[in-house]
Amino acid sequence: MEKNKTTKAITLLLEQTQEGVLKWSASAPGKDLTLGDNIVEVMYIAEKDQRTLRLYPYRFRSYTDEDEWHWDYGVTLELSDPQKRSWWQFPTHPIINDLLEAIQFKTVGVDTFLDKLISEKGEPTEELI
Amino acid sequence: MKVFSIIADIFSVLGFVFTIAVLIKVRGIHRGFLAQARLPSLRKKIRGHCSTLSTLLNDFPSAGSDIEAEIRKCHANLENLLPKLENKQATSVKTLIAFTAGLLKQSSPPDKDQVRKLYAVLVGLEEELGNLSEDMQWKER
Repeated sequence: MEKNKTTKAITLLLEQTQEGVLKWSASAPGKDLTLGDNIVEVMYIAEKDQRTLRLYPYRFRSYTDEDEWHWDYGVTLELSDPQKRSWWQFPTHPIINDLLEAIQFKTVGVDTFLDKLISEKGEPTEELI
Repeated sequence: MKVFSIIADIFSVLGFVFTIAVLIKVRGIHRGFLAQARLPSLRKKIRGHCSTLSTLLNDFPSAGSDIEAEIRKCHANLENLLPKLENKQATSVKTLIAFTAGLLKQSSPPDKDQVRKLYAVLVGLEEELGNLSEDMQWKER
């Protein structure tokens, strides 16, 4: 598949997520994600045009020598058929990390939390002045 | 004697043409070397701008002057990138520099659509630079 096409598609998903048009929910990873070597702690799911989108950050051991390793990280974005029987992975692209950050920001409700916190306490700078 | 003078003239013209050709070639080699050394780090910086702009777009109303500061940094890095590129990529970077300059000059702060457009174009540029770096590695072999 043309790389440009998938990049454009992910950019659109990012825009719709930031605008709140595309809603994601966090849930525990499915069984299929916990069987391999990758460690998945949370996955995010959204429904779009009768398809399911699934995005999950994962970590894995990256070996530099036989007994030397460090944690490495990745993010996968997948799309399933309407029956959720098969998953197709989007090619790895750095903007998937931007999408993950946007999803976490919206799902956790960072902006409303911060707004509420600030409105409770008032502007801290005013007190300092 | 006259024949010798004509031959000498021809060779001096040929020498001049050859000198120009060598100068152009050396300039190309210099640019290529500079690009090979600097492209990976400049590409990382472009990625950083994309990432920051995306973060700011998550909560655009609160972004305030951070957007302008990021565009300013991005503009500086694009100007640094331009002399290291050839034709096609240079043209797209020139267009992008003109776009960021326009955003910085306009009287009102950039709106969401403009920032989104900048983000999308930067993502495209980042991909182009990645392809260019790979091409350069193959040219070397």
